[in-house]
Amino acid sequence: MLKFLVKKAGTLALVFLGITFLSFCLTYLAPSDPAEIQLNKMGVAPTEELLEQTREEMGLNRPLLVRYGDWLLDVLRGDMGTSLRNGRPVSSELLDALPYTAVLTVLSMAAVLLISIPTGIFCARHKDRAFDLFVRLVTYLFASLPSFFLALAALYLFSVRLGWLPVIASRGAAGVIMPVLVLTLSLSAWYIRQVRGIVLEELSKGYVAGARARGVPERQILFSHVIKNSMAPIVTLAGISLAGLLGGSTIVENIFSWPGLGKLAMDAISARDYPVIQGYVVWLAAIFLAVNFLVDLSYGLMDPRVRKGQEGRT
Amino acid sequence: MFHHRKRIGAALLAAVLLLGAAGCGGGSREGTSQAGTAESGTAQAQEEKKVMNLGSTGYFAAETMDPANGWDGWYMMYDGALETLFKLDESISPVPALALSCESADQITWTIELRDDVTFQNGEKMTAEAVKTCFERTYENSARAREQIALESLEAEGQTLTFHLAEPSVTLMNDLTDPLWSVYDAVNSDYTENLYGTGPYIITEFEPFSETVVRKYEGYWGGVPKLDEAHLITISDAESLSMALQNGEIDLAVSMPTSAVSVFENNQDFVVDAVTTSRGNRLYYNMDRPAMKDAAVRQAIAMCIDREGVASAIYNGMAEPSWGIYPDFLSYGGTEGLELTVDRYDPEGAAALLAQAGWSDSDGDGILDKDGVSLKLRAVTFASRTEMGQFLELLQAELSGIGIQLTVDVLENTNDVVASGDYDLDCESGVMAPTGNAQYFINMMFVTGGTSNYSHYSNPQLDALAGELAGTADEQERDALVRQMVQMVLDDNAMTVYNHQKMVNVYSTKVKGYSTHPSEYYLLDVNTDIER
Repeated sequence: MLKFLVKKAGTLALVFLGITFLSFCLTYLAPSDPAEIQLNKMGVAPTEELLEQTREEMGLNRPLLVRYGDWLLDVLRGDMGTSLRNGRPVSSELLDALPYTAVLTVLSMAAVLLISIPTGIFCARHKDRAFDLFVRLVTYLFASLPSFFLALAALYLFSVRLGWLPVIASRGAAGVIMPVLVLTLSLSAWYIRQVRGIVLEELSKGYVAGARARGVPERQILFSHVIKNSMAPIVTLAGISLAGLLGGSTIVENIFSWPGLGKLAMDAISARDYPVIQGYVVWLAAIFLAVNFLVDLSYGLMDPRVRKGQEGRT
Repeated sequence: MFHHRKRIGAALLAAVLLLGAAGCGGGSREGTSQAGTAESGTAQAQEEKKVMNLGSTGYFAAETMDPANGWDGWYMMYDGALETLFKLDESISPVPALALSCESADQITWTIELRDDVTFQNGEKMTAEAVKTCFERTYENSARAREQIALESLEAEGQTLTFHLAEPSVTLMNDLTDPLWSVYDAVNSDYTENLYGTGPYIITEFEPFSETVVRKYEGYWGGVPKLDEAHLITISDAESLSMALQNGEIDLAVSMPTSAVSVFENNQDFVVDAVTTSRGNRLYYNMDRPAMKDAAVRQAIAMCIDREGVASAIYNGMAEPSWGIYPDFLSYGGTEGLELTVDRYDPEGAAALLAQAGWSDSDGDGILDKDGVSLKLRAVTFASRTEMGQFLELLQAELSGIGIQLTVDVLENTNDVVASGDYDLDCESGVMAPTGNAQYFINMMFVTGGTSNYSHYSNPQLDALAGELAGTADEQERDALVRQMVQMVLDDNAMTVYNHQKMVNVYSTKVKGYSTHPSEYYLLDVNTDIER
């Protein structure tokens, strides 16, 4: 098990290095000069002499690998540099936006799982009945609609027509409802279909037919075997969504003026704020790797065969 | 067994709800004091106080509370927190504001008499010494300030402030209308918690890029402001901005995108206030590229722009078609007396012009070529002004009709592409005479090596005239020089300004004492009011 963990951690570290290097190269490969952006931000028409001086001050004249090494050491110490837009530490920018994204993530994921898992199981259990057909139709509709359309439609209905909820989500506790609603609707539509499919596949397996033949009650087959065996792919899906949501929902956050990580990234891209973009990429990489690592570990907890495999390598 | 499961299920549900509630609370608290105030500024509180909410996609996006930082002074002048010694009137000419008069015998030494009744928002009197300290700080911290005014030294005595310049300047009054030269108490402001300007409103809460809250300054020299409080909120999405205005969350939307304006037209609850500004929507021709070196190609493209159609169909009538460079309301603007190389939409004429210049489809691919150069062009623009992307798509269709293939790339930011030079056409938008001074735009756009000369245009005669303009004091002579330079730009088709966009502010009829100013510098003032 320890060997498995060490090996896994080593792989993750390599992937992390690769991603951070690519992210760092953003600045290096970009046709515009960070020194020029810095001067433009100050409202200065950059002369060649001033540019050279600023490049020297910013350490841009050093070799790429040296700059990357320094940057990586700083990142590991928690220093991701400063934003070109407002001179604030990138880590503070990310930490300020993170709680907003975390709220959306926790509430949306909880709602999605609470809705999708029972609905998906029920639809699989009662395949091709009226409820299943109705849910398939509705989920097909919501899965086909892009989230910006859902967001604007929700705004029009709940804010303009009914006046129940605010357009500017960050101004008051009720504001969180609509972004969560939109994310939940978009994700649930997809999740319900996935859960239904996974459970249906499990229900078609030989051990289910065998259990039925032995007269095992249907409820026991479903809860003790089928759902348990369906959990691994569902956890994988949830892990990917969780990591994606923790990266911020750019469109939803922008439409609802919700100052989370997605909006921060969008604003940084518009302003060519490379240190913030790099910091955001590092965050995304770290969160995806961490979630995937936890998902891998969870397989061992859910499936004794996997656990044995993980232990067997020690 | 089953009851046990039920209990576990109920506990899980409760945990999720609690987590959600806790997370929700955390998010609101993290929203700094701005969100807290937004919550406290609920409907009931707003009924007692006169509170106005203003929204915009990009006009309230200050990065810091420091007027000397970048363009932040501009944003804070919008907030009603800052004022300048001179301000622009409706015809974009400077008139006294915090100053009473301005005199100079030699254009090097300028004596400015200041008002005697102005206090900063902390109650300190605005003296010439205080303004001197403020300007010296701005000058020290802002390279743009140093680029704008060649300041040798400042001298203060009582309410008299004297500028000693390093070289003659005839546009000092214009330059001092720039919000960069706002007057603030540089001794007591710390630019993070407080900024003491002289305007009718004090900034009480500030969240970079997102929201600024101001309250009235009772000691304002121009009278007591009518609003108690105002919230200036950035709403990134144009549709959300429109809906926030429709449901009354905001009272005034600044610079409403033209696509969203139609909802409010003919609606008696709203006022659509559209004013022509010096904002020019324009096309640069990158003359470093082989095809763009040919004046006939540039002229042909300009002839394929249906300016009336673009203004009415894409800009919903919220733009004035342009055949010159500067708008009519500027003394050096309009097209009267100019010889226009392109004066109408004429695609047939454009095709004939290209044929005459030797362009033909020699390889039969449907695209014109000459001497191995094919008219396959790349146009770029930025995404935040959606009309420009639509304009380029229209131009793409027009040009394809005369044998020019245009690829359109709408980018979040064009600076990288412009820096790399990988474009033939660049569509941009910007204010051309922010302080009324024509020199500003000419130096940036048309003078050889100008910082925004994206056409890479170079005309030694124009460069010489620009130099002459800098040393000319007489207004009429200055206007004549500007018009000569405009004629050269039109003759060479160095840039096409296809329209002058109107500033469209939409507001509830409850908003009183407000009208949109053509300079894009001013928003809240002492007279802005709201009925509750």
